Amino acid sequence: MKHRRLYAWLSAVISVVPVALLGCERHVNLGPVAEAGAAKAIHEALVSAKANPAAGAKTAPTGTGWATLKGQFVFDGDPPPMPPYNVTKEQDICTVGGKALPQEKLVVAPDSKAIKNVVVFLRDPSRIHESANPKADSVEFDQKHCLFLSHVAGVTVGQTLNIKNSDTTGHNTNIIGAGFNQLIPAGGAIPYKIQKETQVPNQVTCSIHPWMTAYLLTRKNGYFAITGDDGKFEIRNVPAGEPLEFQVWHESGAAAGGGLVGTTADAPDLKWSNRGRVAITLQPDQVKEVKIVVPAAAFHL
Amino acid sequence: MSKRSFGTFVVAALATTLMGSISAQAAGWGSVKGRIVVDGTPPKVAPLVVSKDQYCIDKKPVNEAIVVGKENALVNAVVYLRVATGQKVQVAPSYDAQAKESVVLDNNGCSFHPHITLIRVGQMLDIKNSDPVGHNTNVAVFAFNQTIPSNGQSQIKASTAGALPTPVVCNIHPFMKGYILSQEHPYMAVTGDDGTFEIKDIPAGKHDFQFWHEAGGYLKNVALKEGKTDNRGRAALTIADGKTLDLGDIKVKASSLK
Amino acid sequence: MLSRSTWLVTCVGAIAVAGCSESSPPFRLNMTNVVAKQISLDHQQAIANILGGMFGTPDEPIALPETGLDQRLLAMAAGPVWSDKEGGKHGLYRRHCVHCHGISGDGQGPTAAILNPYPRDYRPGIFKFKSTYTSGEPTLGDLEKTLHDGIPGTAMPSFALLPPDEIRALVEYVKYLSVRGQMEAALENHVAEELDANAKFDPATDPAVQQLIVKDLLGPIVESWNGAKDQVIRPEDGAIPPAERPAGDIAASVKAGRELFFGPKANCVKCHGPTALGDGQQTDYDTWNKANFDFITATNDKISQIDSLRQDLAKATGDEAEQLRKQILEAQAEYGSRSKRIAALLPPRNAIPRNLREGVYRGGRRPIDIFWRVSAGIPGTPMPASGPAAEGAPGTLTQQEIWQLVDYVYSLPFEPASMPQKKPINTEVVSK
Repeated sequence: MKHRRLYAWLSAVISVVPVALLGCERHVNLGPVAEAGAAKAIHEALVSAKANPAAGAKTAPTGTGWATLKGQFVFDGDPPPMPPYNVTKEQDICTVGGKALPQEKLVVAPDSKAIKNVVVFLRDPSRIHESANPKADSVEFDQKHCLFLSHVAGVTVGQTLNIKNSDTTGHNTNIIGAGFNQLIPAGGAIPYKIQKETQVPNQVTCSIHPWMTAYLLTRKNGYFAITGDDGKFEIRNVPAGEPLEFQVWHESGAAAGGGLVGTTADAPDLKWSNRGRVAITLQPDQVKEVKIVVPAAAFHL
Repeated sequence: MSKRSFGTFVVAALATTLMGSISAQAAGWGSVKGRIVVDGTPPKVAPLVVSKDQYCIDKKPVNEAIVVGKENALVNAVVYLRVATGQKVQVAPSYDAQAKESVVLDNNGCSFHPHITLIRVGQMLDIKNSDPVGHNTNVAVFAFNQTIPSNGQSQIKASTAGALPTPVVCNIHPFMKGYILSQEHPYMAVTGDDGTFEIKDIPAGKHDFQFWHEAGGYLKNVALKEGKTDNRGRAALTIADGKTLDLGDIKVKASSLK
Repeated sequence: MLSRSTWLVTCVGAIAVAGCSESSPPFRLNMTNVVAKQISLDHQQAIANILGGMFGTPDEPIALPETGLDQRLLAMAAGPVWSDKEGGKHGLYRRHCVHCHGISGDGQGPTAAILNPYPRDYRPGIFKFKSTYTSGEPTLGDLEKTLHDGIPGTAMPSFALLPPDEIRALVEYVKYLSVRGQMEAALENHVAEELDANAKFDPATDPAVQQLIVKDLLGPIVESWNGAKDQVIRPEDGAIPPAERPAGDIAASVKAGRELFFGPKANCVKCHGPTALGDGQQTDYDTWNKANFDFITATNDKISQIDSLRQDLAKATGDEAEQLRKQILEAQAEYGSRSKRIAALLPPRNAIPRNLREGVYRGGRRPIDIFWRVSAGIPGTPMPASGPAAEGAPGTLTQQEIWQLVDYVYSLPFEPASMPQKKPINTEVVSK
């Protein structure tokens, strides 16, 4: 019996030792552990729709059909006047009649208050209508009077930008972030095939004439638009029946990455984020027309 | 996944506009000012160990953890309006121009100028290097850490607000230390060489103000004209329309600067 | 009556069951942060409960829809280790990761203390080896690469032999532990900065707290993870050096890279040292060790603070003395809880710049890997970015210059260590 007792002692000690070594950290305050009941109550409160009304509408069913979004951007109030470009050299070529042209950081029509050069594009479309497939043709991108003639341009991947120089002086055209930086001789042209998509338009500059600035949007599909003098845009044949997210961008947009945050008082189904992104779901064959009013504070000038 | 995250974003954006509109009717604007002084003998700070670059050694940068000016004025204390998470405070139109300016942080003489940088979310931070040696500027609150060559410049947008000032360091010159405070609003001030501060055009009403110092952290239990700061260095002050609340001399115990 | 041996066995059994760890290990809070912020016991419990409600337990993780996490993948990775009849593996995280990275992903598994570098603590959501801009979260592809390739020069092995779906599940679980850790830090900050010591903090009954948690605290964390794919640094097509180049081109690029390495623009020499042995700057800390280092420093500072409060007390009378006594007691209590915590910390270690002559590259040895390291820096470490901080932002070096540095870094293991440094090098290299 004595042996058995000793054996019991030993086995007990042996089995205690590893437990003591591995399991218990005696001197360290490990802190509290979640109480199962309380955690469950919190979980139920958080998943109930109240905490986040958008929670249910997440995994959107893929819709069918196509729709159109169009509209006009209007400046709220009086826009600040644009100073002329700071032309520091070659006045004879780079000015018109000795006067430098006004800057294009914010171009607003005097009467209609329509905003030019606003970029709208659809982010991550789930499907693409054939009319919005990328193109493969050539697009002209010219410079004259030491200005880029298309101040904001948009092309699809696969298109070729024919970068021209209609001045009598040399320019170098630097598409920042695209890895293109070439000297375009006076009267010359260089083609540049668009290779990749951007989420934010690339800035285009000329280091010889540092005031020259333009922006180039490159997308994998045709779901983009740039407003003209009338501030109007139209994007046709976007996927209907599913949540869409449009990015609104302007070179002087104050939101992150140049996002432009407008208001659409008469279209509450447009949900604006503070990055200038708009969420909306359109019905098949719907043509949604919106008036977007942009306050002065949405611009960073 | 981007759609999913967008959902929360929309909620956030809507809620923000809602709150903005609620507080949009400010009943006028007022100011607060005062002078912070050290009560007692201010503790000595250890001299910096400047181990690298003859240029820096020659420039003799000083330890700015505690700087005391004339008449025991406490320099580089920070006073700012504190807004609870999810809340907003209305900003006076007089700050519109400032919102578009960038804030300059210069590496000069192997120290940061200003020692404590104040910035509003959305403003650009221009980081310069006026020294002949290269620096890197590590602003943890914006997850920014870039090399800034001699006479070079870099830029980052103030992306988030921090509850308290957070360090700015140069890893190449570990003795260099500054702070940055980023807030959604402009109501912040750093005491100058004479210990004074003033914050203007605050919406009239009762607000929480934070008192902070690099060495002292929260400036707790500091007696004010009425009441004192709590154990997080905060006090509720009432700002009246068209008036300046003068807190007079605010005495911070020397012992709380350790 | 029980015999002594039976009694003993019962007793041991009882210890095994109840005494220490329960059968399933729980998530724990970051007690260093909790103590540093002096969070009350009630609030500690509230935070643990909220995290429990949002993220579940190590055995039963929860993916709230707002987090975008994949519940199916999390279930594959979580829980105890077992295999089903078809040979399907369960409990992948505890099978492969937990011994180093710990149950809460705090990098403090049982083996952590004997490893150098320490295993990664996922909770701050900072990852060193990734393709995105400095402030961006890694893409899931970045994390998959780290699992697939391991981290050369460290204890992190390659998991290339695991099937892709298991790697994917583990990556999801790492992201889950990060999001959970970031949420914990956000809650602790909120409690420390905004709540009174005895304020109630319960989202189960208060819709305002629900809103705060999901929108204000969790929202930005999830946004940052979801935005990672828009944050990838893509080298400009024109600037990428072709794989096959004439020796002369490479030599010219290496030479230009060398100029940059020693020059004041890229400034590599300051930390990696004049011989690139990583001996230029060895006293700094990375963000994970710095947290511990700062904690220890602040704890020691408490002693001198208590001393000076005592000196004030000697001179004070009345209300002021009473106030000071209270402050001394508070400071002493804080010192007590802090010094106990120090015993549990992994001793802080310095961040040693990489020895570039070994030819071992932790984040991968493809040119693009080195390019990303130079362009975005190494987040969490003193290594700064030389490229832009965000798309369109100005960078210190052009992409071409970064590729030249890549070429020079590749050449360093073959450069004679005695090769004389360029003199004069624009600025002095290190102090006397």
